[in-house]
Amino acid sequence: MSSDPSLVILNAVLFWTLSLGVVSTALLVVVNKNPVGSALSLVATMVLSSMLMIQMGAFFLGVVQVLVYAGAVMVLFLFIIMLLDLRQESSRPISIFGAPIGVVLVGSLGYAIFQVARQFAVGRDVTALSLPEGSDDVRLLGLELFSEHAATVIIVGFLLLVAMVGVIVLCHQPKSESKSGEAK
Amino acid sequence: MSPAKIGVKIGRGKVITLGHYIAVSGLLFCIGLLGVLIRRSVLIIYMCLELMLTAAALAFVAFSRFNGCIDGQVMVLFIITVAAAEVAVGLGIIVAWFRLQRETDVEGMKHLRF
Amino acid sequence: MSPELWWLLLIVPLVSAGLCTVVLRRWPTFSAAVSVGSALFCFGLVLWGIVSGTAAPPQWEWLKVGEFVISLEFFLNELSTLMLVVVTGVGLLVHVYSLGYMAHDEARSRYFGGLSLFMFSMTGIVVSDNLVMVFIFWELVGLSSYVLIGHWYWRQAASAAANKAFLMNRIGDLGFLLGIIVVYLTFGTLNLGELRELAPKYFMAMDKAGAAHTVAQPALLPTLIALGLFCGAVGKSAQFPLHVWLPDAMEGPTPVSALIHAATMVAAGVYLLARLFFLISLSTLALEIIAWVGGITAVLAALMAMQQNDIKRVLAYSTMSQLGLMVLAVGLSDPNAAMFHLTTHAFFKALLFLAAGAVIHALDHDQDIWKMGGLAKKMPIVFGTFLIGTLALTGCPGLSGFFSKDAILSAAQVKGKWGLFWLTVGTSTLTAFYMMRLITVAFLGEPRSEKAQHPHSVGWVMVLPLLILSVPSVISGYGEVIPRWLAGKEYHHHEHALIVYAVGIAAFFVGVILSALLYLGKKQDPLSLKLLRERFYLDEIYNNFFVRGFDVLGAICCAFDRWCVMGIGVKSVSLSFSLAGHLFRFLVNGDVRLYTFLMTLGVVILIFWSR
Repeated sequence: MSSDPSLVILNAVLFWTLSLGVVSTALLVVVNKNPVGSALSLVATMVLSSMLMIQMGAFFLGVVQVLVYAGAVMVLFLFIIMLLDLRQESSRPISIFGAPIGVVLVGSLGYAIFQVARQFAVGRDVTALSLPEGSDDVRLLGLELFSEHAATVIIVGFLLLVAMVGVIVLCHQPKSESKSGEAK
Repeated sequence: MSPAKIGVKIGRGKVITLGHYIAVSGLLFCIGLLGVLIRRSVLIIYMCLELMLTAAALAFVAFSRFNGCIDGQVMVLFIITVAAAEVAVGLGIIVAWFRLQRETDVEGMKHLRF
Repeated sequence: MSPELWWLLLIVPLVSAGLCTVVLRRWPTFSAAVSVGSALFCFGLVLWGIVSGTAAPPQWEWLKVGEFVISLEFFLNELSTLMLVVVTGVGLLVHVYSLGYMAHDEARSRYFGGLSLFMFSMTGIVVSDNLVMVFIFWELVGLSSYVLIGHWYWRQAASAAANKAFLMNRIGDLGFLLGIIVVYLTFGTLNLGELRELAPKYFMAMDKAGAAHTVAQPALLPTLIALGLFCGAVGKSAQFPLHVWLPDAMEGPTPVSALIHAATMVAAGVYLLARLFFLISLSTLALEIIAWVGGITAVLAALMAMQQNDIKRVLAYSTMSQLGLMVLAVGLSDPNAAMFHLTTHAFFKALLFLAAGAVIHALDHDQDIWKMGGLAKKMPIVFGTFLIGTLALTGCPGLSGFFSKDAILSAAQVKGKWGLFWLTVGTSTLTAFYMMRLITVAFLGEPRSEKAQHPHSVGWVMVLPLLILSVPSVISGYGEVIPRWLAGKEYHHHEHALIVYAVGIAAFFVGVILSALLYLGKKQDPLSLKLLRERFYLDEIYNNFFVRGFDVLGAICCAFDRWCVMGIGVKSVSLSFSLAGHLFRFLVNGDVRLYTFLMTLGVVILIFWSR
């Protein structure tokens, strides 16, 4: 692909918008008093990050993220929040003691990651790079997944099975009271 | 003209390199970590945990894209799967806990002692 | 007689001791017989050996460590043969006497075993020619003394006295050992024969022409040697300041006191000094110290004897006093005079002790002289022999003690040491005084108690040794037999100065008359000198200073151990562990947030560390 300047600019604009969005919704997740609000912000974050993925050319993954992550996992979260009726938040959503130390700690980690990021900040623009073998990423993904990483797939399958069983065991109540835990 | 020079010519902030994506991912990760350390409600902590996972997935995709191999995307698939399983189990625990304690303050969870 | 038979002198008493204590425990009569038999055998052997002039047997190598050899050698010269006669002779008489004195004692086997052990050890000291062997036998003699003093061990006083004797001896032996070590370092050998060759050469050097001449060397080493060896004598012969054990040792049976604490063991110190005189004489300073220590002991003991009320204690202090005189004689560079006095003293002191034992036995073991009286009429033979012994001790003209004491006075006078001379004269006067006091109070006058009215009769087995001992007490001074024997070829006769005779006789009469005037017919002691009666409070001083001092030291060490070593040392280790435990406990308190925090912290640290 040629590096069409307009594409580059478009790309840049998209990136910055999406980035800003993602970061702000993430902050909303952390800061929100209401767990429902937090959950909805997280959904927004995931949608925006999936858009970032699509911008990078990982189409399948972007879709899967929205479908699975935002669509099932977050819904589960909301379901539990509603079930447990956690509208009321305790008096102090954020601990006063931990906040400064946490900020410092995380800040230093962030600084370290930023240094690493700077090292990678040279190179070609994303639009200049050609997608590997076109944009048929589903096929590529499938090929790779079921040949190189077939064993991992099977293991992850077992993991899901175990998780299902585990949830049932955890939330099972021998009495007639209906169980509330959900298995995925 | 080489793409890099074009990038330089066009100016900073206009060429989105790998580093930018890593920076964003890192920022997301740090925000999530902050939430895990600071918040007191178990559910919100858990959500911030999911945020961290998402950030990691983003980073993987970026690396995969810029290095031209598909392995990063495979990893992201697994991340999503594992995250789903983990969320199921974790929420199960939280529900079981809530049945006992009637509250979700993490400071009540001090039973992991010797 | 073949030289090898001399070994029997050592073997027979040792075997007898073993048999008595181990095998024949339950048959006391047999033990007594074995022991007396061994004493008789030894005495006979000594006489036969001397008369036939048998030489010493060849040495027997005992221990060899590299080039250092300890061997058992016999040393027989005039000095040692004289001492052998005294030791075995008096030993035999004491054995016989014990048959009567201890006839009703249950533990006779142990007693006779102890006596035989003592004979073995004492003979060993006399004949050993090697300083290490001397030391070993020295210690064995101390052990025998401990065993015998504490014979009636169930009595608190007896066992305490035995401890005291042994400990005081040990203190002296420490000095002795140091002296031996310095001898070895200086001369390279511990064999007395070789030392006899080397010692005179210490201050000499060969000049280029090959002729020997004296060289001025610092006399530090010989002084150390002499003082070290003298320490042993101070302990064993009860000189000041290690004298306090001797009066307490009277807790043992009287024959033991006669043998060990009058005639032989305490004389071992003087014997050692005479034997090693060639070493000691290398240092004039040491000789001076020795003489003065002897003199001070003599006077101090005589003063203390004046106020004692126990018959055996008077005799004990008298022994101490006479030993002081012997040591004084050695200090005056006249070891032959010392040995002369030692010999005569052995005879009449043993006689006095055995006679006192007869008195005690007759009065049912009552030893207070103020409860006696009038015994001259009731026990004439005992009184007669006691009187002979007393006259010999106090230097009555014509008896043995007179000659030997004059020899010492003469030595002081000839050397011009007038301080020591008058010290000896004073001691002699005091000796006469307190011995006459003893005779007057115990034997003359009227009986002062029931027991004195009706004393038991004393069997012939106890009287016979008394009679036998009276003979040498009288005659052993005559004709200067003993000094002649001792000096051998180097003997030269010299008349004592007139002043010596005059002063000696005057001392005797003054003391006797004063005492008779003061004490005849009295019912209690007219003199009451508390300082003397309490033995100058030396026992109390030693107790408070040393014994309590060591208690304090022990307490300090205990406190140090408890607070410093345990408190700081050990507890610091244990505390650090428990503190670490407490510290780490906070990390595992179950708080999930803390865990998360720590995990993050760890990650951050790792990241920054590895950059």
